[in-house]
Amino acid sequence: MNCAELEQEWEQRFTDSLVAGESFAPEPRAWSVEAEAHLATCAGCRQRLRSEALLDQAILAWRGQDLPPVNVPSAQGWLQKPQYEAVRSRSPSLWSPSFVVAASCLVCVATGWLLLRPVSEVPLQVNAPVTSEDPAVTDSLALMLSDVRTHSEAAARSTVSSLDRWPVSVAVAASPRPLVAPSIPVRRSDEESPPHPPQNWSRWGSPLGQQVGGAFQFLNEVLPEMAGPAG
Amino acid sequence: MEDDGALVQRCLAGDASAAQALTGRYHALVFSVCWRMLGQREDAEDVAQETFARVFRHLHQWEQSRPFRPWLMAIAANRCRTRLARRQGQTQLTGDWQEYAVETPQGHDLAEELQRGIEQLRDDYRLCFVMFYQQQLSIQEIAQVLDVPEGTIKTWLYRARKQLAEALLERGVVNSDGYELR
Repeated sequence: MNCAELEQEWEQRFTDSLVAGESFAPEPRAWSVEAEAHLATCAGCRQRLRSEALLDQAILAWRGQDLPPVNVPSAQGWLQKPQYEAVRSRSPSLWSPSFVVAASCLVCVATGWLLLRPVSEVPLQVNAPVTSEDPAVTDSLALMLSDVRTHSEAAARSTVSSLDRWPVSVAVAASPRPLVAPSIPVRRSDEESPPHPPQNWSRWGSPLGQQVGGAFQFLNEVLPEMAGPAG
Repeated sequence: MEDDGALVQRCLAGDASAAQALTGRYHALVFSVCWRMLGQREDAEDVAQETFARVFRHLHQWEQSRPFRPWLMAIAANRCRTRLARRQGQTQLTGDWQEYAVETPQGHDLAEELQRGIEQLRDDYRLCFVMFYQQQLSIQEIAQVLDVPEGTIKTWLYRARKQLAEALLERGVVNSDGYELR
């Protein structure tokens, strides 16, 4: 046995005394044979054990010390009713500062989300199937969709035909070079053939007709071929 | 003697005599722990009063199914820790426990030497040592007070004892038989 192993055995003896409920000065127990042999040869460990015995004496003297005289304070001030009521009313309160801050943050986040949410969510709601659960809302949506489908196309065709009849009072003929329809960056004329023959943009005049024609050229390519309101 | 639970119930009902009885029952215990932990009588009185003020403020939070003394001692221990932490960085105060120390025939005041060593212990070890050896709280009660496993309390007690024994050796204290240890 070496010094560390003796220390382990000493700690085990101490822990056993605590388990046994010996609050102070544990009963002397016999050392193991190995420990006895080590103690016989190790002066350091013998001194260590003597210091523990001295510590027990010191603890006895320390426990015997008298406490300094001190008066028991009056408990009157600690037991006032208003104090209890203040504590009780404060602790379960719903409107604590942290709760108010948290609620404010939640409201701000919700408001921001409602204001800044993507616009693409709106058609999803519009295209939602009509159910019988809320007839007023669904009827309104259906009516709005119907109006968009029927009237927007007619309005677009009316706009195109009106542009075709644009009065060219400005002296376009005076222009020395032929007008070319403005190109649309989305679709180039050489990529695929347009469904309709290109309009005669020179009739639109310049520069207003050139700009308006360029802006509405996509309508000619997208709309089905049918006679407009103006024939 | 009226048990702690009944006294507490009367305190919660606003009975001042019950509050005084509860204070009288435990004041010496709380003060002695504070005095051993802090080493200063004035500080110990202050912290003992803080402890009882806090106890009565939070008395409605005490669970009656649990013993009162560990709950009270836990508050006292926390107040002592707070006071010790506040002392950090301040000038080290000299304890005034010497004037109450017990003189021994050998000229060495063992209790005084031990108290010096206790003041050098880590706060947890010191609380553990004071509660076990002076207040004679059980290992289970100390574990409740400090909110650590019982095995940890045993380890802390052993380490506190070892450190104190080494401190006695370093200071050249002789034992009651006059045996020179160094």
